[in-house]
Amino acid sequence: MSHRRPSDMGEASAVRLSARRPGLARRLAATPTAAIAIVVLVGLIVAVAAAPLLSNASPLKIDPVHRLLSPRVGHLMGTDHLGRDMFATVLFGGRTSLIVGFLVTAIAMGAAIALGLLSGFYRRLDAILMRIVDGLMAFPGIVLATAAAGYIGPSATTVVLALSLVLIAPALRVVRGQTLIVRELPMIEAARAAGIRESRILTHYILPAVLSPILIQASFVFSAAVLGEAALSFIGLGVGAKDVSWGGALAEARDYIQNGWWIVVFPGLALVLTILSLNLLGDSLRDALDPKLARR
Amino acid sequence: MIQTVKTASAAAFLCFLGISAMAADLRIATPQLPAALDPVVSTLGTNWLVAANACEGLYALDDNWQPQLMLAQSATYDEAALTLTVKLRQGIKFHSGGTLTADDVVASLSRYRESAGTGAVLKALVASITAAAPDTVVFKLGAPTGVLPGLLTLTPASIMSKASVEGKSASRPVANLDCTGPYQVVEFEPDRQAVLARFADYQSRSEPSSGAAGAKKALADRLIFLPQPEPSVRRDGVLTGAVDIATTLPFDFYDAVKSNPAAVPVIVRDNQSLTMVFNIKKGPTANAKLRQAIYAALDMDPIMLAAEGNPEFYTLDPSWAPDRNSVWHTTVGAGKFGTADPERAKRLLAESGYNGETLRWLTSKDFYQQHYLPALTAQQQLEQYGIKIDLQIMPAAAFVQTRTDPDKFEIFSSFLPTYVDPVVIPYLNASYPGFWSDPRKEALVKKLATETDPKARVEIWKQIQTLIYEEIPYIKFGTEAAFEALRKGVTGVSDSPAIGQAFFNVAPPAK
Repeated sequence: MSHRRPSDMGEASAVRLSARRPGLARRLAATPTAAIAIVVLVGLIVAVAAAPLLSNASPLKIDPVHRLLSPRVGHLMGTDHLGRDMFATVLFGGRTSLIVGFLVTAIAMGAAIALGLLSGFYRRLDAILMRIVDGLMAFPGIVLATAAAGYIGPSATTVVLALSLVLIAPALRVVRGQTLIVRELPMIEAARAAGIRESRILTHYILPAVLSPILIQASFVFSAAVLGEAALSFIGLGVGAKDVSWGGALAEARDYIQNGWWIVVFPGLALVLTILSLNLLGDSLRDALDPKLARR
Repeated sequence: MIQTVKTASAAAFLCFLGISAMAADLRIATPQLPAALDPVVSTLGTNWLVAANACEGLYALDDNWQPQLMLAQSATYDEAALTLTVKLRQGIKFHSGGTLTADDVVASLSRYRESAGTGAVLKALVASITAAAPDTVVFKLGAPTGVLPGLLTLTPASIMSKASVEGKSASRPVANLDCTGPYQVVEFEPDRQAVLARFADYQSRSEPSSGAAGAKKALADRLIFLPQPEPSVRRDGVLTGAVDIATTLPFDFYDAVKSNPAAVPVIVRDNQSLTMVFNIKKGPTANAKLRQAIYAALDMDPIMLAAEGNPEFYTLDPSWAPDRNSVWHTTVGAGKFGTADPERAKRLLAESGYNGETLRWLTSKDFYQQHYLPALTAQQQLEQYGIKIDLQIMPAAAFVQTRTDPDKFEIFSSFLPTYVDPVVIPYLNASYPGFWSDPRKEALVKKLATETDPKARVEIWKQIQTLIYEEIPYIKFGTEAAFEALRKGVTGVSDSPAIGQAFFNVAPPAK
């Protein structure tokens, strides 16, 4: 067993990580499902970002005279029961979904990483935090989000807060579990023996070592956030009337399936593609980062 | 062995189906069921659904919105028109088996007059209600009035047995409806179903049926009300034969119902007005100029088209009594109703001193077609004039609660059916959310309540409607029809808005 200085260990793992990145990208690109998922997601992000350029219609503009028009030139995805352009609805609704997804992922994963590292590293804190997490996980996620959204009132901020609250707990458990494993490794003992501060051990030794499962978990949190936003909007507790969302569009469309299939199909398709791509990407990331698991 | 069990099970199942099929049930899918059956405890008309089929009052409305005698055999005023003496029909039975007497009438109406809403109107008009004889009830009036018969047609004015209402305040619901109607309640599970069975001892009047008046027949063995909030579920229930009647459907379903051989559409024309109500007590909308500016800014046709989806199912009629068969239907005071006047809107907006304040508009998706869609379209129109609207969407229960607090809104969505008498229109009550208390209106309503000449009363109502169009305490967008789907073979359903939610005289398909 070789004995290296702890600082060398840190540098070595940093070197290993930086060396692994191109390998990860190559492995992902070589997997057809991951490649398709990335293409779909990138295409979606570009389309959503360029929404004002792609459609000059407002998704909120009501035009009852032109209600329930089937897809045609001028209305590529038709119009809904209030004459609103469905192409604009899908594009601008995607903005809401993706922004909510990014924000929820950032908040939930940020909190989960910080609390998961602390919980896994400090056993006394762990005892308290895990009981709270157990409490949160005892409720079905959608019930908890519905209660939170119902209590605060429907708005985009509410959706982000409610979903973040729900999604912190499972992510926190993953980070904490990995931290528990890593904290017992010889490199951590060595770091302690060398007198390195605990905060530095957490950020420079443990965090890099648990990054792979965090990345995988983040992709699932993102997909759960997009789906959760759609679900909350569908039951009327999502973003307000001034914002467009796929879930809200589906909720309003459900009584018009027989009159205009396009009102349901296009936002539904956008939602399915997004969630499917995110989940496939998450699976591929897991396989790429954990080859043992992929071979099983 | 297994084969024998299968055969026996199938036989038992078919036998069960046979028994079910023998019962001539009329299954009615409605958006919701009331939480309590007692109509006295609620001022919301949709909560009177079950009671309207199980109970009767001294009077009932006919198709022309005229009060006709129901449990009353006769009713006469004294010369000064300060006493109304009502003789009851003989031998009328309650569902519990008791016989109707004047004591039951006194107990029921004394409880009703202590209730909110129209009960308070009765209390203001009638000094006392007494039983002069077992079959005679005497109403002593504070002043002559032409309102009383109309008021007594309302479902909360139904007559229940004295034993069932004794000790129950007007806010405490009775355990079951012990009434005299053609159906009696045999099962009630809130949010699941209400089952009413034919009342064998029901004594029908002999006059021809008209609205809720005249002869009433329980043509089904049972009425089964099933709450189904999703309109598409109600419609599909009729199309698949799971239910016989689906009420309150969106008009976008009309073609699907009409083209389906298993179903028949029924359109109830001129059913109710879609409206917005202003907060007159506090905030920016207390300013009449701003309200007038908003009225001038609105183009009603797109608002109604967005709500109804098809021009066949609404009219741009300005009358606050929307049914054209009603004696109260009038277009006076409305001017050029329905078309926006941008120049006038801009001028009034400038005169109002409106400074870009955000107006909170309460609405609910629980009344998607009546509340939400008109509010969404009107909001868009008003924003073109720089009028900022914060559309606050909330569940119906929260909506009803929030609108009672004048600090929490400037506008709320509403709808208003035809009333038997304008005196009982809730909007005219100063305590109704919106809180319109104009001395001219109060004087006119008082005059309307105490005038007995029918022609003079209509003239007074015209003055009130004119005042409404001057002051704009509320805005009417238009009149919407109602749409029901019937299973093929259902007969007797009326297309008159006057009958409301009653299903007597309606027969299920023949087996």
